[in-house]
Amino acid sequence: MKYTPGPWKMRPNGDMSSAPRGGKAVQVCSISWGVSASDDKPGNARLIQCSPQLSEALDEMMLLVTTPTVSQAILGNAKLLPKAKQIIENAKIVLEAATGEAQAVWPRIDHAKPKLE
Amino acid sequence: MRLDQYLALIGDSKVEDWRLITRPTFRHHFHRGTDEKGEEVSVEVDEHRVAMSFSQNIRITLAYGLVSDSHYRIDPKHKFGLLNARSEFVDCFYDNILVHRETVVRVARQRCVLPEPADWTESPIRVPRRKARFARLIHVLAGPLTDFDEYFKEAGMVEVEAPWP
Repeated sequence: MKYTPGPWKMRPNGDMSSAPRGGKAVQVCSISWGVSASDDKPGNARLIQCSPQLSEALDEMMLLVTTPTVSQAILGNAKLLPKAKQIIENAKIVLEAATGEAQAVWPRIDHAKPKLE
Repeated sequence: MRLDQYLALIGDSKVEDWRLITRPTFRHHFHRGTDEKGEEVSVEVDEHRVAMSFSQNIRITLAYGLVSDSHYRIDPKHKFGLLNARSEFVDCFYDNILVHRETVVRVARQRCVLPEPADWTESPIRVPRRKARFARLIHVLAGPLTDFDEYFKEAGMVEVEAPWP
């Protein structure tokens, strides 16, 4: 699945465009705010603008968490484990919703290859 | 030092030879932000994600992560052609002078740093060995936590003995 690359920029009229490095801006969409509370608009605009970076950053974070080294560290900490499991599961669900792709199962322990490098 | 010697030194180096310095890198890039008509609407400031100094010879430094093209297009028939990709610069400095600029491509929704081939439609895609090693080093040092070799193979790339740059 492809998406318009970030960073996205939203203008006060709701027009949102992608402001790519090394290229011309491309329109992503135009948002009609409708009846949303005016106090929420700047916050909502910020969230929408940052979606591509949020998704990419979460993806990188999940890659880190699913490395055998980090997985093992979390599994070895009984106090942290229950909460960590919930957080990782939640992140996985959000990322699957955002990308439309199944994410790696956690924990992924490959004993033959404990470290990537 | 000649450029080929310089790049050979980098290509043959080990991950532990490099010291990473995160932002700020103090090599800011200012460029025009434009609207759909190409008219200037803002001034954007960008910088590399990370700088790297070579501990064996601190005259050699790299800076990686300045986005070259965030809408980088790979041939749609290619395995990674339908996933987001962007090209990024690896700036290579000697005595703080820019001596080489290499473009690498973050493929598959930015999940791996690969060398930019001359032709994405070639099969297999032949990449000079030194260029491939260079991209691998950048991936391992500053790229995502994925397996470079796996993606290199999936991309249909093979290393060949060919001059680079």
